[in-house]
Amino acid sequence: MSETLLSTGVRERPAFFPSDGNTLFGVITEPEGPGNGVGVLLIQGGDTVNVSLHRNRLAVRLARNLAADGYTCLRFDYHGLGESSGDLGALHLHNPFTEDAEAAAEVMHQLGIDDLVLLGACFSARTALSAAPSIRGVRAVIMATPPVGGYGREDAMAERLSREWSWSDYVRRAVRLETLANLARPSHRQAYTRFARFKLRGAARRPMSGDPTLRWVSPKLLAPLETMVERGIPVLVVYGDEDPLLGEWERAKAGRLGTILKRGGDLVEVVDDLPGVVHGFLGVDIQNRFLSLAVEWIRAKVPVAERR
Amino acid sequence: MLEVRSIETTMLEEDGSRAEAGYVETGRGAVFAVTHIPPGPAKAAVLICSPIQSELLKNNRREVMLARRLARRGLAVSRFHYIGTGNSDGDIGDVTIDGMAADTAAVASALTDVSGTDRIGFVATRLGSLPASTVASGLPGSPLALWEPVVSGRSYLRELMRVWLMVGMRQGNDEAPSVADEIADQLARTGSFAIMGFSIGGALKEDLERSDLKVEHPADHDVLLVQFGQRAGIRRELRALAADLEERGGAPTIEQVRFDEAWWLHVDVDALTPDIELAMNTDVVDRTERWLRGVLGVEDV
Repeated sequence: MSETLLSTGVRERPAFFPSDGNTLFGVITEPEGPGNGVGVLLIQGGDTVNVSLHRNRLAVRLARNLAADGYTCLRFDYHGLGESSGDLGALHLHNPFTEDAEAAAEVMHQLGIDDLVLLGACFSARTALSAAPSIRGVRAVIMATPPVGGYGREDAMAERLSREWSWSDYVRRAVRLETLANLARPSHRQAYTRFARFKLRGAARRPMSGDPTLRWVSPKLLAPLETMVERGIPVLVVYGDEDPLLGEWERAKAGRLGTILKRGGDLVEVVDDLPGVVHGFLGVDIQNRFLSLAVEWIRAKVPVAERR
Repeated sequence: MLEVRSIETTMLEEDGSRAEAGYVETGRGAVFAVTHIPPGPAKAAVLICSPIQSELLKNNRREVMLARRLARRGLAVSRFHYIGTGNSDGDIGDVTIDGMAADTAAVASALTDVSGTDRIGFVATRLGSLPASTVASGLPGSPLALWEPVVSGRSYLRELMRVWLMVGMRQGNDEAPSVADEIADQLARTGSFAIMGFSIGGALKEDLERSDLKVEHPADHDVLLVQFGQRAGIRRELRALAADLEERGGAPTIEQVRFDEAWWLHVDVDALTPDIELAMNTDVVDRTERWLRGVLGVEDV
């Protein structure tokens, strides 16, 4: 069977579709009866194991919940992940997989869905935001724990520590017995070199005067967010109150991000008090809270046409 | 439902094989499956039995690589998600070992129909080894390749508890209640317990407490046991399984693939780059492909 009616009363069917020389895989979830004309793109993945199901089937549950409420959803695997073709390559926040999101949006358009909500977490939050300006019919964007910087996957920790640790923190840790013992392991040596390189690079670039904290804020985050504000498109940003990435977001508000948020007013809603850590969705409770929040927010913010 | 203009359920590969995604109706619900069809008539068929939850995600690309490779070599291959897992119908609470075996049997039957051959082999990983060995036991002559098999449900549960403890310790959770108490509490409240944000249903936990991997007539099956990891030597549980199979007339092959897979934990990103991951996936895929083609008598193309 190429499609199925699930026990929850929603329909699902797989879809292969082209994207920039690759073939991507996705699953379309639809209400059994007429839909409300709004589609939700569930942009998940980015980690090498994080296929479109997401942790504990979060994306599956989101899609089925939303479809039961009349929305049409598409969850899909990035190139090089899951059932999709191609090689993943390097993950870098300066180069989110915008083409893949655009290709998935085209599937929605082929289904006759013109109004779209883009939803992503972490790297995929950045993909959602980056793709939003170029996708026709975007009505809202949801970003769970978007990183603010412009680093690559392998550099994420080194980049963050270079800002959060002082030189004395580095020295203290460098002389620990455990660290010295780990120098025998090539992977650790590589990591320590990376940590040092990022710290030194930060020091070299940091001017003696002026605001030293905002060079790391990615223009690839700021520009599309500004576009959303200019176009009057609502954006939801979600962090937990213990999310490490929340600190980045808060610090970044001292610069252009703050200006954009001020100009956006209610358009950019930041929920930063979900209890614990949202990043990675490592708890079932936080998954469920996010799921409810996302569904309720979409209902509230995205006008639904008459059922069709 | 809206009209669809050109949504494909098939992906054509450059080598002429194709992947068809769809559902197998099992009576328990719709099982999501992807079947990889070779360019010509299938010389044999292989059913890939995935693990669940974190292990399913971690193993996914490896299984896709293997399936594509085997299809290129002329074998029809199916991969699927048990009811309550992945893209299939149902909730995690629906997952039981018997249910997993029923889904495995249903997809094996569908694969036999599609491929036109009843020469079928099984590749299973972790928890997938339990249903795979049950179904394979009913099909004399079917080879069975097991990646990091769960040999005992009880030891699997203990492993999950160890992960729980490690995570708790890392979070500095010294005063947390005992793992057993915490699991009992979660089961009482929600009907499931969670490890690293992945739920395990109460019914599956009960099943695991009394389930062991069993190949009924080892002499009737070629068995490949693959251990992942850098450690020297084969771990005790796997040696015991091999000894049991040999004692009962089997002749299992044991191979070790020298990379560590953290099935439930986050991997340090510095230690696992895409290049390293590709290399380790290729290694286990190469070995399994060679072994399967050998025991199924499928010549190199």
